[in-house]
Amino acid sequence: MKLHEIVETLALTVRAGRRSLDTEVTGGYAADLLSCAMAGAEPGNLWLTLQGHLNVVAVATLNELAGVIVTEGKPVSPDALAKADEEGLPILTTTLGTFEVAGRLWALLGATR
Amino acid sequence: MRLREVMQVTRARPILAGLDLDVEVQACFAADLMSDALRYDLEHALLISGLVNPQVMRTAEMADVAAVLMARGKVPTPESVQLAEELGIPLLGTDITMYETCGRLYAAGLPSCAPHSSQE
Amino acid sequence: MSPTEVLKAQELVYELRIGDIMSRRLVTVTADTTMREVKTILRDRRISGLPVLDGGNLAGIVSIEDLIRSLEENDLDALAGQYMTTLVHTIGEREPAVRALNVFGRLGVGRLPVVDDEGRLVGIMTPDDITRGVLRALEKAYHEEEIRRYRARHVFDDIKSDRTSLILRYDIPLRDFNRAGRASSQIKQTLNRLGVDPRIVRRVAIASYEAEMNIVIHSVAGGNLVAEINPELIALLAYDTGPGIPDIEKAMTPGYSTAPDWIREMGFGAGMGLCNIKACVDQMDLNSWPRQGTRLEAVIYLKPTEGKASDEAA
Repeated sequence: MKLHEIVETLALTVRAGRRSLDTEVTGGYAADLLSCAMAGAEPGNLWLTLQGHLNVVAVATLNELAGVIVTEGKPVSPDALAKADEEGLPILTTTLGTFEVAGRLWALLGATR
Repeated sequence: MRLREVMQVTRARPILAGLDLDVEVQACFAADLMSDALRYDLEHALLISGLVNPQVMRTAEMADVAAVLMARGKVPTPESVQLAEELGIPLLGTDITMYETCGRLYAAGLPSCAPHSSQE
Repeated sequence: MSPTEVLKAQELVYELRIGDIMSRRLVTVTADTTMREVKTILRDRRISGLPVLDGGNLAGIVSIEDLIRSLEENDLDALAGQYMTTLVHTIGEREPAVRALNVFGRLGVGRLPVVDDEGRLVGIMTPDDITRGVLRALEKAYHEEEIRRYRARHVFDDIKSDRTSLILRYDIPLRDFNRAGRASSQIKQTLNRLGVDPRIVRRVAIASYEAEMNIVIHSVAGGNLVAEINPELIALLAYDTGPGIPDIEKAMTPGYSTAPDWIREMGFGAGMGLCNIKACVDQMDLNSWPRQGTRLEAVIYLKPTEGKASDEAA
């Protein structure tokens, strides 16, 4: 499923990386610890996290993730947004919690990881 | 949903022996960061986390959660396990990711915890 | 029984002594008592076996099974000494109840004579005595716990003063993530013990935990947490000696945090929880001085009429 379809279905707010919404999403990964995302998230995954700071962009780009969803209405720092735009990394936000976003995404994508 | 069904759905095993598997779980909350967990009404909830230190148990204690499920095959520190035992909080572990754990439980019908609408 | 009660019962089997739970109402016969008399005693006393004494010493046990044998032989005038079982296992009165359980299980006998340190017969023990003893001890423990709870709930009734309060003081060490939360945990347990409404206990616990974690994460040398409990309210005071919050208004914004990455990797510091504290309490007062420290005071009223309803929840 393309990222823009997910953005529409889950009513996510696009905060950065608008030009990269055509990416194919391979699955989801939920973690707030950068070390876990670094070790566990796979290329093309959409990363669900509470963290909205600069290092999230670094980890997501390194792992070639499809994008980041910052949940629970958490703020994203301006430097993170600027860097994400530069890298073409979509940063999406929602007021929904991680459990609910993961639940809905899982239902959309089926039993991929 | 009872704890025994949660375990089936998420392929979880008990980390502490002697669990009461009939404990009722009414909603879920998933996070590694505990900072904001207490903004939510976690009474009777399942707290899904990958954080191994005792603060998960402390958060669970303060909020009166029903049980804690460690995802991603994370092994809680001995201090965490000891605290869970002292506090009598059921502690489970699963090897599947937090994403998949949430996905399966959501599909099984468990709702998400809501933020405290008011503290009353 | 709940799992904890089962555990308690298991513990008791180890703690209880044979002497505490055995039957001391000893009915004995001698080796020259006839089986006819044995039959009458067993029937009248509704018991299933009798220790047989010979010159004051335990010579054996005569049981219903032995009586049946003599009946089958039509030999009721024979002496107990002839039909009794002589290879008798005994158990010491100071041994734990679990020993008797093991012996009953291993030998399949229905009763065990209990002897003192000198080997004198002092009582008799059946599996039923263990069950009864454990149940009695459980009940006693439950009653004692009830009494302790009752006393804790009424602690303020018994103390006479113009203003009585209970003050709990805790030292909060810096960045000890294994012990962090201990103070709030103990405050919560104390309030539960005092019989405070669980919803109020939860609000106090959450506010106190957020305040405690702020000291653990952000202070320069740890700090202190004080909870004052009186019949009207619970007051929390958290203070440290620095570094101080540069911009309190900004710090009150949800999600605002100055925590470094390594603290975030520990699972903390994604926000200071100050708005959460504010939402949990009826009154909050936060003061901070750069490089000198931060002082947070919060009040939660125990009776809803005295506090304003908190409508500023997160």
